[in-house]
Amino acid sequence: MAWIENRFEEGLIITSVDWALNWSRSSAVWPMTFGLACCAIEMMAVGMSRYDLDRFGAGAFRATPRQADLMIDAGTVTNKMASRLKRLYNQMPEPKYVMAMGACTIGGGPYFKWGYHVVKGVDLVVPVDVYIPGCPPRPEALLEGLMRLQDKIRQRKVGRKMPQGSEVPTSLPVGV
Amino acid sequence: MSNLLTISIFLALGAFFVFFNLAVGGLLRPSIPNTDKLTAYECGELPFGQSWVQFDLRFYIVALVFLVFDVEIALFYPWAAVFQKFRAAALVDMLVFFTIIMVGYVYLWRFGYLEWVRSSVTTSLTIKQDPATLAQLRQATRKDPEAIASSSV
Repeated sequence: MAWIENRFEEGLIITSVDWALNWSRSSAVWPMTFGLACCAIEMMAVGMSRYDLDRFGAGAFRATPRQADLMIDAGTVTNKMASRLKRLYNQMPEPKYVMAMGACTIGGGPYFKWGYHVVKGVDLVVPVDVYIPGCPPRPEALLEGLMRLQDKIRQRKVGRKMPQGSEVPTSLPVGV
Repeated sequence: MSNLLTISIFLALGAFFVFFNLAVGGLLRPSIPNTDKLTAYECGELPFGQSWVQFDLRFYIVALVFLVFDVEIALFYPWAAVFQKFRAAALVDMLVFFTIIMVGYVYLWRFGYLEWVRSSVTTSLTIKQDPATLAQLRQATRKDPEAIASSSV
């Protein structure tokens, strides 16, 4: 944990520090270059000039989880990919966020009934912050999801004392 | 003297900026190490084996040959740009240069560097054979895997 976390009572100075931290974190959400299936095509469209993810400071797709803040699970998560996905999540530095993009990642989607190879929702594997429905979601929907994620980041209370049991797990056991 | 003062102020501010930001970052950023973060990033795969793997040394020759011809092509472009101006002199210059490159190429060809599996027939100058026997030997080494294994370098 950071030195500043869970240390101070609420006050003008610490809320200002929180505001500044949340502002900087929410305006530089770097996603990981990580496309699982067809939703990734929409994710690429969002990165291009017509929809321009860079307007929100989230256009810098990182090629390694060590530099990424956000994992956009864009597409079908297969059982085989789930352990890899979890390992990638574990390799991301805190604070980290996960977006479940599309029907498959939310709950299995069209593979829910007969898809023997598909994880029935990526939230069975990693903790998800934002769900973006659609098959695939429109690029605007992904932008909306990013804005909701920014709302979530802005509500973080970094320096203030948090209630017990409110932590998000930062590392998960990886099955092989 | 005032210039030196300015430079020292800039240097001090620069050093302060670096260490100040590192200190602030150290106070603010979470530090939660785990084993997955400490392992090598292999696109989510579990890494196995050592990174100290020896690559085949024959790749070195391939890289060198590629480099020679790459540089040659790169030098042809400015030569073509000034060819209109110098004409005969440029032609002679390029012929000399090209001949030197071709000597290297013939050397590689003669000593079997263009073949992945080199046989002892091609790698030495001492074996004197008439062309028919040489061709026969080459054919034999190509076909027989044991002969290739015993004669390759």
